Amino acid sequence: MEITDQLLIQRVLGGETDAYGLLVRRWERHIYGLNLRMLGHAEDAQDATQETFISAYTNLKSFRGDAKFSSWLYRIALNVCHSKLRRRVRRPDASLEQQFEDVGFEPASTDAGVEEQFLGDQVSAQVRRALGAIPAEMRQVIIMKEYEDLKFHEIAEVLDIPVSTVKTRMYTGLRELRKRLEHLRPVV
Amino acid sequence: MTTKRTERDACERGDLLVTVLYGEATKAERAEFEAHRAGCTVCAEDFAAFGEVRQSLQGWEVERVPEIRVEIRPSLWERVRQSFVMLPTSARWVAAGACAMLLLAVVNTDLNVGPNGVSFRTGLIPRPAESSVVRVVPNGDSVLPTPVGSGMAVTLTAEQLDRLIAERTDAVVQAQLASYREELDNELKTLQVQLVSTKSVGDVQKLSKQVAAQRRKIDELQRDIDRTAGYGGSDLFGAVLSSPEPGT
Repeated sequence: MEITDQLLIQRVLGGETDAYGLLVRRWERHIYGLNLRMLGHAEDAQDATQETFISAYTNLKSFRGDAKFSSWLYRIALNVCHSKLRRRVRRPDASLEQQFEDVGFEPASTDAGVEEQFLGDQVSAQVRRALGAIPAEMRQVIIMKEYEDLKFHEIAEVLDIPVSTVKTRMYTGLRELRKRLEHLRPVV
Repeated sequence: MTTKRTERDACERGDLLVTVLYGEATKAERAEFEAHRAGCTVCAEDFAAFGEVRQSLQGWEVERVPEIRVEIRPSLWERVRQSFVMLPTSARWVAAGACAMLLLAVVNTDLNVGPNGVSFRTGLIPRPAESSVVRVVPNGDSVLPTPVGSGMAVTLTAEQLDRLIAERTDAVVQAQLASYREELDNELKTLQVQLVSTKSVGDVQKLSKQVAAQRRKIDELQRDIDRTAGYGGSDLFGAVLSSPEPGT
């Protein structure tokens, strides 16, 4: 049976620092995915993921356990992302949309055919660009729903906002994306 | 049902739409939305289009997660505590006694509160003269030796004092670990002598097992000693937690 997050946290707090490695391995994929889609840049996402886990470790004593560890971790990750995004705004060498566009693609799957891979990369690039162009408050809701499969009330818990606000942001964000991705229809 | 438009083309029932779209609606909510959609072209179009948007979103996959390195730096106190845990129960009592005496040395100081801050006399610092004065100042201030009376005055930050105590405690624990290692070595030697002199096959097997177990015990202890070596000399150490490459 898998050890629960709560038990691992107790071990870490009891001085067993190695147990934190298990928590990192358990959640790194989710946190990296969230950061990558929020920031649109692989290196930034890697940095943000490291910052997230270090910050979580440093503040582990303050984790009360009345919310899920993952929700707490997502919240830290989003704070790290917002902080990085604010720094980008202060350093306007390129628009956010442009930065999302400029990032390298994920390594191509070796199984995919060349044409299929090309179309896949195109879709991926368009999605990156479209997500990068919508406001971060909408983007984060869409990412948590679409890629992390969180329920609306879980997203509300992470962001500490009412469920109705989450749904409104989701709806508005999807409408924005619809406008930006409409030309993809034939490709999809 | 009347539908209020909040902005161009957007419908006020958008929250209900996404609730249904993501399968989180109750039966009643689904029925309510279906009834609404029949008379609202915006929602009918959005509902269909959002399905395609969601399909596009799934086109951005994260295939590879890079190595995530998280460097954890426990405090010196934490490291001392970890070393302490390694000791057998008897040695822990000895170490605890030594640490208590060390702490008493701090507690039994001559405390003075004056306009220049807090100062107290202690035997912790090697004394060139009759006594030393340790003056605790806020963290970050420099260490400035100040002559006071006939003794040598040393000004320490609270952090430095804390570190000093931790280092001394660490030294006591390390000494106990070394003593325990010596004890285990002696036991091994005794077992080896017994093994050489015994003639019974049963005893040879029994002693051989005991010798092997003793060696494992010594190896484990040595690993712990090696792992914690040098605690006193540095304030931090890094335990690097790195994730395995995908697929491993």
